[in-house]
Amino acid sequence: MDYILHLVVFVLLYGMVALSLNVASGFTQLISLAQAGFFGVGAYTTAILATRYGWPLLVNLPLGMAVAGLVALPVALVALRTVEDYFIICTMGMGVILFSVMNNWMELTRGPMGIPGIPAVMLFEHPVIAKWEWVLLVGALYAAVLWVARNIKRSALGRVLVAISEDEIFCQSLGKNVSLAKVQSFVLAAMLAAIPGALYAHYVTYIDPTSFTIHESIFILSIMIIGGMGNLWGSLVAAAFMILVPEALRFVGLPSGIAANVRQMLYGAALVLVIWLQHSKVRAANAAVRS
Amino acid sequence: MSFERSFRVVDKIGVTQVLINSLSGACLYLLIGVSFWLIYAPTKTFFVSHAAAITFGAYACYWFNQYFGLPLPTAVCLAAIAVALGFAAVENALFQSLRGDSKSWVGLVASIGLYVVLQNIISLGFGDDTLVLRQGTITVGQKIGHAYVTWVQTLMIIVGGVLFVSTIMLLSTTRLGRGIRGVASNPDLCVLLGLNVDRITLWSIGMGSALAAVAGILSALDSDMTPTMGFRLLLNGVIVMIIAGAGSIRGFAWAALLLSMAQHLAAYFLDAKWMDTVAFIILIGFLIWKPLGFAEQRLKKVEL
Amino acid sequence: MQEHSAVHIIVFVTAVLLTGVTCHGSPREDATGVGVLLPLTGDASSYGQKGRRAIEMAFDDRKAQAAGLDRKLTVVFEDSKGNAKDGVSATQKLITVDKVSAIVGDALSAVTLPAAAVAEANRVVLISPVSSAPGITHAGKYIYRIWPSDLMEGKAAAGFAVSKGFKKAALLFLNNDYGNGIADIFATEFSGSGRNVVLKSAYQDITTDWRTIVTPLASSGADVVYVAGYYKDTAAILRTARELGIETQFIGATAIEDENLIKLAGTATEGIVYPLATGFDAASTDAVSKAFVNSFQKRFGYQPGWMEAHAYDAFMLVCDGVKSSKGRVSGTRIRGYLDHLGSYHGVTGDIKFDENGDVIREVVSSG
Repeated sequence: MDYILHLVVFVLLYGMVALSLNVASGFTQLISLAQAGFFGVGAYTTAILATRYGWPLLVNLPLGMAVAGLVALPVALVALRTVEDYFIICTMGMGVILFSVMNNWMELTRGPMGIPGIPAVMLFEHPVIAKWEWVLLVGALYAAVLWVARNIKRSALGRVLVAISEDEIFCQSLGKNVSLAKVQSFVLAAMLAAIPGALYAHYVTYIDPTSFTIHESIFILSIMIIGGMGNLWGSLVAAAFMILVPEALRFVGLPSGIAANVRQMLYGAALVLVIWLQHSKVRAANAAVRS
Repeated sequence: MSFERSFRVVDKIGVTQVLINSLSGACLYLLIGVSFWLIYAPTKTFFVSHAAAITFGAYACYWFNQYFGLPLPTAVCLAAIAVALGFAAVENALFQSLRGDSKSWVGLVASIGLYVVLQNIISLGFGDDTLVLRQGTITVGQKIGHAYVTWVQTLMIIVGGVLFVSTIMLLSTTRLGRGIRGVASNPDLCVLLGLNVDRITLWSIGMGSALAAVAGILSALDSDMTPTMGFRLLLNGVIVMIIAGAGSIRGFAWAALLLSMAQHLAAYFLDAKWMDTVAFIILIGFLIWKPLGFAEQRLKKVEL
Repeated sequence: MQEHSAVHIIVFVTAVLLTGVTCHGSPREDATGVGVLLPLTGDASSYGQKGRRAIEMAFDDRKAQAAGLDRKLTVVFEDSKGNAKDGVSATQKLITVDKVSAIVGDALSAVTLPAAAVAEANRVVLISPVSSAPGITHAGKYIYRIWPSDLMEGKAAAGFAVSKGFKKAALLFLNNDYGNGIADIFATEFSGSGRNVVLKSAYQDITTDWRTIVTPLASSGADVVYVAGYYKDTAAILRTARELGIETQFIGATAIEDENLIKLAGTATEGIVYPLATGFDAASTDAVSKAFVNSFQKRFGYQPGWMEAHAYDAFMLVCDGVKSSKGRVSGTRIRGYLDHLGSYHGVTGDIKFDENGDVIREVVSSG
């Protein structure tokens, strides 16, 4: 069923982006709203190289990751001088600036006109067109990203990141290089986000800056939160939730005039509900600890 | 990146106009920044849903004015009160239910969900089309020097200024005001001192929402209204707060002026499409260089 | 606990999807589906909703003329939300689940382009009522549009400016594909022989402060201003310009033709000229046009504009294609019909397609 497979591809793609956000924010609980920007960097790198020079995915993908990493480095160095709420605002600002570059640097990205006609991915002389082929390709890369994320979580770096979320100052007093860890995770996350970005560009065959706005970052953030911060499998489940539910609502017979608004309201309400539910758990746990 | 206009001749017309525009824009930002502070200070939560308060203010005023035929000033007051009551109730409920969580992003993200719901309520009620609050003929503004000022701009400057000064006075002289400042700086101590922190928070949110409503109405009078107008306006207000430092609102006036002027000058010399970028570059600059803002007030234990 | 409930929800939702998808099944031999892809929510929703109304009316008109139709026609509306991602999902769903043989949509070129790729790959006809990006010309053999490419509009506006003897033009354009497209073409056509563009300024659609954009006009020395945007922003610019005492001649884009323009800008609209790339004139005396305008006004209470008219025509064209298909309706058959269409007289005038599926139209100016 092509439609279902298409949804599976999107779930896997956004699952990957959410995984990358987990690496940046899920362990440390320092929320970044810039992830859509790096997703976009991956997409644009591959789109530009493929449409202008005909380079294959095998080359574009690592290049996209490298570019994303390079862009993320100064972003990380700047943003990580701020704390908590301000970090979120700072990364949001970074996201806006990344979007601005994509939207206004006409010579490179064609700005709002986007890049159409992105060619198909060629694997061993065979173009990846059929939906099930895409599912395999994206699935394979998803597994790779998941593997990387898991290894980060289990590594020394991962432990430092989680420790940061508990008590950063204590961590620092133990002699751990907290700043380095934060920068590392941020840059790695950006590089990971570039992978689904490249795939997205080839899959949709047309990209423009509006796919990489702050609202996208908020969408990705919602996926990570609903899945549970630091919860790697949760990201996939949540991506499925966030993508499948609005699609399922297409089949529920709402009058077309209001259907779309109602769907958005349900999404907003779901977000509040999930946070509230998670929070009640935390509160109950705290109360249990205290008593 | 190519700059299409590489050199702009600075002339009297342009500069005067830019100055006037910056001033009225600054007053609007000031109002929004102050309204946001009133909600952030006692709760220490970034309520994204505050953007909806701005939008609701404009639309409520429209509703009272167009459907009930009430004169504009009455509609404005009613709208401000309605928004104050509604948002105080909703945002306070959200805040209370999420209390005790050590993670600050919880409130922020939940308020994003709330914003989405509220914005779509407006879309459902009024449609996604652009609406206009003003009626009557479009008149040429008042000429000052070589530039023009519209009556709405004058209104924005006066209202913004008056409300700002009133808020400062309220915060420094009245009991409620002192209570708000107390809760803003140390809520636990306030509880110990016997202050009804919850009541004070509720009042503060209500006042902040009322000011936001007025800001929304002013913006609607100045240009027009759409269901998503609040978000962008809110961002400007938040930037003002961050530049000025969330400790006290006295620095807000300078911050608003700085932000507005930077944006207008950038638009004048470069291109209007860079306005948002400029705003965020300034924001980031301040976050690095002066993380505590103009006021240099200690608001959190950021470093040892 | 939270994960388990999430998994439960996923399972439930997937079940709903699967049921919905499989129970839809193939349409009966005598029933045919036409898909409609429009931005029903999001920033472009006002256009999407206008299109939706027009198509609903077109559908009912068709049912009334059911005598000519020997098969049941169903229409499925899908929301593209104005972005590529959702547009592609919606297109995929229309093709795979609803098994439509033709899709009317989208309004935004940014959605039409990727949706076209999906339609083309599946041999489903896609006809856009109003997308104007030049890229659509080569989007595929199954892709059509009844709004001329940006090239024509930009040229017409520049031609008008040149013919009136203006020497210095200021360009204010919306920073999206439409605004950029026609502004660039205007600049190319206008410049030369002592004429040049003295100001070229882009603005975002979410702008709330229009004075920053309009202020440089006064000092630019331009004698004509070309505003390349939609009616909302053009109205705001006109209004602000009037308040700032600017009296230059304004040229607008086709997209601004809408009675809301006057509602939003009032008397400031006096004197503005814009090309009618649409061919739709609500005041036209043409019988087909008048009938459309009257019945639309009666049903929805306002006069239809170019969005409604084009959506109506696009849908009717598809219906004609369906009607003419002998036997099983398919995208290929409908495409065959459109390719061999001599000329179609719709509410937007005469529609003729060139070999790329672009409409051939004359552009006139209106003030």
